[in-house]
Amino acid sequence: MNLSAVDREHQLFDSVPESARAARKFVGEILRHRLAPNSVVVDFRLVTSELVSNVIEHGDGMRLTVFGDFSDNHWWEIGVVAGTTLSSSKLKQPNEWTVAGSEDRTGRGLGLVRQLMDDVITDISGDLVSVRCRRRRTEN
Amino acid sequence: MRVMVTITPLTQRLDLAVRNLADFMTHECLEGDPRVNEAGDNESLTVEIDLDGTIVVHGDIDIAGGPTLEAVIMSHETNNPIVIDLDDVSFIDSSGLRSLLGASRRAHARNSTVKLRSVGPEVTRLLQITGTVDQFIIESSRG
Repeated sequence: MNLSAVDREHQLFDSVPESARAARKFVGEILRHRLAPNSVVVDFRLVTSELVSNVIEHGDGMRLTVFGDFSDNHWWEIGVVAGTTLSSSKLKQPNEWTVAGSEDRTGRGLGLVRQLMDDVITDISGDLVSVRCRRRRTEN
Repeated sequence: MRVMVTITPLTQRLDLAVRNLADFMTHECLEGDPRVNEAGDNESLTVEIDLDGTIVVHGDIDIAGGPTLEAVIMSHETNNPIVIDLDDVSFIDSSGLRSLLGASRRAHARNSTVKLRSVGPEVTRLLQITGTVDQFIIESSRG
């Protein structure tokens, strides 16, 4: 780890479809502000959209938080925290997240997240689920 | 002349928007007014219908815009093939892809196809990652 002072930004969103775009905008802005490469911005915008959409479709309907954590200068990190009715045992681990086949109607979002990120960490604490998505900084 | 239908991404307005489209196609089109405008504060997706039936999409195809696009596609499924112009689409996610795949699935059931025109790199990448490129005919791509 190469931790500097905590460098974290977050924003709250309503659990409604329109929030996906707003969350992408937020993530794009905080990454660009830290001079992230465009490829990183593009992928994290997509990942954010997938996570927020998943919360909107499957969460508890309460507000959700999107955050960026830039405390570790080896990683770009974006995450989502939201209410859940799932127990830890029901939460699929990221290494089980796959992209559904072309004939399937749903089941691609989390598989995309896993494919695009170097590291995905999930946690359920009480009635909150968090998903942290990290991409190794290659520019260091 | 291009018929323009601007629809808010709010799902609760979907029925109203589709009704407006139907009203326009049956009445206003003949009166020379080329536009129906159903504006919203949180607009992310606009769909235009060319007179040749091409579905022209502007904006983001996501969980908000995907259902809107799907409704417009479903109202034009008599076209064969269905042509969707994505020249002004710079973002799509798996929720948005669902609307395109639904159109493709229904088209195949009718022995028809969905043609994607002016496909940008973001859409191309998503199709490739999800292994769904072969569900469409890519008529043209852009840088």
